Amino acid sequence: MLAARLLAFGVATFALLVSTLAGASPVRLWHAYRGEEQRALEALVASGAAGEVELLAVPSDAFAAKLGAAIPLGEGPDLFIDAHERLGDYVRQGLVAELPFDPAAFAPSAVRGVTLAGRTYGIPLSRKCVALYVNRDLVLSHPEWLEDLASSVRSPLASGYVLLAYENRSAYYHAPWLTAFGGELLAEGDRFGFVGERAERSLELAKNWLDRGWVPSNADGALVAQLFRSGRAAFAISGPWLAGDLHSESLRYDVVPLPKVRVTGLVMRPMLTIEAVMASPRGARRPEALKLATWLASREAAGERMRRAHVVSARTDVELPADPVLRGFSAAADSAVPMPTSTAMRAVWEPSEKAIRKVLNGTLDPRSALREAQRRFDDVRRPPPPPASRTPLVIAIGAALIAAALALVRRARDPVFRAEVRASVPAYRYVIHAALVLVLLVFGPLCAGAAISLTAGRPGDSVYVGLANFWAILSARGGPLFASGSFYCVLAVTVAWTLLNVACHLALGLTLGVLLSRPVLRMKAVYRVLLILPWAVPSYVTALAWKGMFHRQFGAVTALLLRARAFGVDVEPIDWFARFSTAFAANVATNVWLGFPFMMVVTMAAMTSLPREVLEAAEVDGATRWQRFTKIVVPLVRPSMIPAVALGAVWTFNMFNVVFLVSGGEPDGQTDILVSEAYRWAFTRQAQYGYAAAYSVLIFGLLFGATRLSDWFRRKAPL
Amino acid sequence: MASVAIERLGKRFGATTVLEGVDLAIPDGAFAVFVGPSGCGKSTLLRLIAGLERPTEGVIRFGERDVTALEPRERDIAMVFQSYALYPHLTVRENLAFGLKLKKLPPREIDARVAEGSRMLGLDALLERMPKQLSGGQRQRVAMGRAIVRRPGLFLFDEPLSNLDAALRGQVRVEIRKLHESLGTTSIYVTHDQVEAMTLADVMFVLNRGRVEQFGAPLDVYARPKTRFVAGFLGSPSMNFLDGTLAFEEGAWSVEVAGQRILLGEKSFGGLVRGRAVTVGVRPHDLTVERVPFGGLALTLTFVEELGGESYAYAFVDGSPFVVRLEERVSVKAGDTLHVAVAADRVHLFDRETGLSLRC
Repeated sequence: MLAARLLAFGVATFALLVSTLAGASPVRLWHAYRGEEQRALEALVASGAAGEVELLAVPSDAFAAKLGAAIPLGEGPDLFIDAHERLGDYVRQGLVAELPFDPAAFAPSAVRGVTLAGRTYGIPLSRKCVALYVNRDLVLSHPEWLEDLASSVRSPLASGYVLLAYENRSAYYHAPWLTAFGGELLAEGDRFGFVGERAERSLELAKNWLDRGWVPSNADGALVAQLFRSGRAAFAISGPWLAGDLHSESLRYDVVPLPKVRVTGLVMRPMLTIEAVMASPRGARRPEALKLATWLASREAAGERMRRAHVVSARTDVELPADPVLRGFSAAADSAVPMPTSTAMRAVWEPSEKAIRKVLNGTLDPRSALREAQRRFDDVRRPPPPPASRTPLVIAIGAALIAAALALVRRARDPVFRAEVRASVPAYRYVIHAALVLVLLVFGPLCAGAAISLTAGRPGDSVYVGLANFWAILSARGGPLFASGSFYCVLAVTVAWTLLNVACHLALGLTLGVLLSRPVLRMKAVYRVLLILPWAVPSYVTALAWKGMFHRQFGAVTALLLRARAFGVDVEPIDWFARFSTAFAANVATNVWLGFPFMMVVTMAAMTSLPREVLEAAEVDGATRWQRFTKIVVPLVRPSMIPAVALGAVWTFNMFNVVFLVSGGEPDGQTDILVSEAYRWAFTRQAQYGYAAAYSVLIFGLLFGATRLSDWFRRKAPL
Repeated sequence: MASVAIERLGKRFGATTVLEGVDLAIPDGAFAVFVGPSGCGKSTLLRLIAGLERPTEGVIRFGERDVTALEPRERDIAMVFQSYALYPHLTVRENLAFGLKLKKLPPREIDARVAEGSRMLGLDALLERMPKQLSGGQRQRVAMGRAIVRRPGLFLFDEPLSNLDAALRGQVRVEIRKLHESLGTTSIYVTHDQVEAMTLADVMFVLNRGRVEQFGAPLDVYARPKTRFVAGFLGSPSMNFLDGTLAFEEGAWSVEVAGQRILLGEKSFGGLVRGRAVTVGVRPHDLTVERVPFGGLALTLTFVEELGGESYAYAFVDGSPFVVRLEERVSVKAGDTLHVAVAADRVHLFDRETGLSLRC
């Protein structure tokens, strides 16, 4: 009986094994969906209509990087679902293969989106763009013209209400205003399109709306969502993601395509993102993968996805459900312009947004702002430096190696040195693993970074250019040395930022540390915990909280300022990030908040080692409280404070979080410090890794030099 | 120069009372010593006088000036701390000049005073050193020099010799007394060491449990202790105490202790009541050895300490330890019986309940 069972089990196992080996492995499909869309995809795959599928949800911000790392090694997916605007990059890196399909049943714009140089790379699944949200409680009718928005409101809007909530400083949201004047962000031949009369007029219109108080200033996505959800915006321009936020039953709203602009008679056409299923080169060779892709884009699957996930299909032959929101987005998508797939598009955003901000802030007229944006674009898109000869590098490395070898040989011949080495061999055994870890995790990346700084071009096709990157940085790329955004200008800002911050950290930390060390203070432990709290909270959380507090209309700082009006002080809300001084002050305030607890703790530690009788002796000797502080406390805690100040200076010099999250370099990159500037070159300006690495090497050199210098000073003038 | 007067001074730290109802007066130019066991409040009293602590109640006057609410720097005082409290980041010269610079004296005056002070204390060779390069005795001198150059109205010393070794301590003690005699500044000196107290003081204040038990010229206090505590605290080895009962027989007073009798003589004084329970105090030095037992105590020795010039014989009387100082080489050993007597005027009598002397 048992034997029979065992036999049956063995046969079953063998059969399973054979079938697994014989049948190909399941089709691997990567996606970045969440929530409804993820569930819809899972349901489709689970229906089994397209064979066995292995699904993997990859975070969207890591999607491209993971594809780039996995596919060349043959490890990646057979199919992946991503936005079409990344196709340019994927094609260039060879991550995606051509995927022919019958375009007849698809929206022409969707087909255009996945077509590069006459070839289609992916089958469109869905279309996403922004549309006009209408709050039915505030609005009488759906206006056809933009200019009629104000007159279509039931009654004049009270204060705290806005007519149209949209992220007016984002180039993505400005694009519909631009298309209404016949303009485009990226022109033919990868030229900068956001320039000229059309662009200027679109900016004038947006500025006009802001000046009338019809749109909120400095609105980000969260604010737009908050305004519309709470019923304080009559209209909003936003995408399907806002609808997901509007679950409250009380809000009655419609979604309609964006209106037309009367001066031109043209429709405001938003940018269209097409989500398509794409095939990796390996996947393109697998019939079952192609079958799955075709099935995912089929009419049946599209209908299913539309019902479940409420997304607008890329197909035109799918019957729309009765959902009015979906119908609104579908109509909006019909008039939308596909986002350009060219990699040049990535260089468009930053200069465009800087120009938009400058115009909206009133710091520059549209023409000059746009010309400046074009110059920035051209600067970022400038051709990489010519490849340089490797000979000097080889000679330099060779010379260094020979010198090192010679020095080693000379040391090795020294009998004292040899004896010392022999004696310390057991000690090396204890530190070797730590040394290895250091080499792997610290020196390795450092050297790799330094090596990258000698190259130019995008990852994958970089070339050795010698010191050209350094030369370009140090010569301000041929422009004036102290122009905005030049290395020297940013360095000056960074130095000022470091000095000011460390001075404030020290002043505040020392004062509080001394106060908290007073023996008579009650509830000392409570204060201590409260004051260390800013340090305990992750810095990016703090930074985002402070950015919110500095919002011009809705921030806590503004609310406080307005309170001052009650006392007869006439203050206007400050647009903190419109001017260098206030933006810099906001950054410094945030960083001082983050940094003073460290100095305070160090001070408190130093104070505990301070002999009480010495302070009393000074008191009897006639020193006032201030004199005791300056003449006794400060000199005595100084030796403990110096390393803390040096550390604090290095941290502040490289305090990326605060600068990037609070001011984000505004206005116009003026508050950027060296690290955030390096980040922008690496990740927002055409992935110029070599150039960014050169920045990093310079930062390293500066900090290294500064610490050596301060050590030297300390040795020269010991306490 | 100032006299110091303290009235009803009290200091509490939370629920702990450190000083209570302290009244004292130190005449101008006197060298006063506060002496007492640890925890008696003597250091706190000094810190109150310095202004480093605030009294809970009472008044402190320097001369006619009420200084109770003043900051230390407004009191015109200088203080020498137990740990010396030199400024570790300043040279000896800067340490000496610190208070003078704060007073904004002209530099020439500062130099002159520092020179004078360092000459008085023999610090000339050390002026450019840092405190950590000095020995304990040298640091102590710098601390004194720092006080002297300020020419204050009042010197305060907080156990300044306790961190020195025994030989140095005796030497510096003499120097302090000499300095006081040449400067004539009112000084207050806190110590737990009765030798320092006896040798230095013009007027000595014995403190116990936050109160002044007795004050006066050191020898007076030694000879006529008002309480059993003072009697026991001063003198080394300390006074022998025995419990007894007063008796009056054959026209003479005596105390009966464990069946033996200590004669007090015929002279009567207040507090002598027949049958009264008393504590008898006899200093080891005041006992004389009797060849013929008469009106004294018979002791069975448990231990004899020979110190060369003198020796101490130990015994128990009625369960209490008893010490006798033997002047010359009296050849006794443990187990011997010794008859000792004491002159009637050297017998101290204390009420057994209150501990107060019956003689005052």
